[in-house]
Amino acid sequence: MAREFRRGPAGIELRFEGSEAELVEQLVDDLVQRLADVDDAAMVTDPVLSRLFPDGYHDDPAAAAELRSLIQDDLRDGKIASAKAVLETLHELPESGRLTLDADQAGCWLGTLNDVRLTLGTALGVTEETELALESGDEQGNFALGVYFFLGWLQGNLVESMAP
Amino acid sequence: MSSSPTIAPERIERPEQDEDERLDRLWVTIVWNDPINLMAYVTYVLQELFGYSKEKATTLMLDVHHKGKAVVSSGEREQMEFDVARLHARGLWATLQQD
Repeated sequence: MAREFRRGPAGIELRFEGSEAELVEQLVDDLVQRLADVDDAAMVTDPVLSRLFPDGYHDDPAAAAELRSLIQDDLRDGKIASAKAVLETLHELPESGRLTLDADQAGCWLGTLNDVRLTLGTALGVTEETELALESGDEQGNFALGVYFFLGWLQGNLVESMAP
Repeated sequence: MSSSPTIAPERIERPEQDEDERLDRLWVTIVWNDPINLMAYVTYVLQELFGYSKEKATTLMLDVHHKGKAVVSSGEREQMEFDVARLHARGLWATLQQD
């Protein structure tokens, strides 16, 4: 698996192995597509989109709708910009698979990995027990879940290397 | 004279007083537990957005994890809407309500 999360002189360094970078690129591409195609009604009805753009009020649909109309375009544009910044770093990935991220790029990676995990995890119906199911063997061989946990491992390492 | 009941003045005024009290109360931003966000990530976001120490951010994160939710900020309604938007931008599940 990917190695070398550390804070170097030029920023956060990480190195991808095999097809890991391609996998991440594909998932981030999918996220950009999903966000670009989003329509207002789907924000509320689609489970993945309503997780990415949740209601800001728990028991007040009118206030939630009003807040949504104020913030959702900026939220979506921000997520798309972050995902595109991640894709840019992947397009420049050298043969060695070694990436060096400056602080802004690392922030984009952190947020976008989270959005991809929210997307996958919601679609897969991940619960608090899912990790146990994978460890105990019930879900071994489930490729999508394997990808989900790889991304969690990646994000966990990234956040650790970024922590102040 | 009419015997039909009239509404005592205090019955009319009370709701307005309640309304005033509600307006005076603070709003709070709540982060809710979810099975996807990493604990270390939630701690990081709370430090980044609110400038909390690692200890305070960790305590709030653990409250979210174990109790299902935690109040992460309080203040005027507009400020809380801003905080909710910033938390949503980072993928945390947040809402605002009156305290």
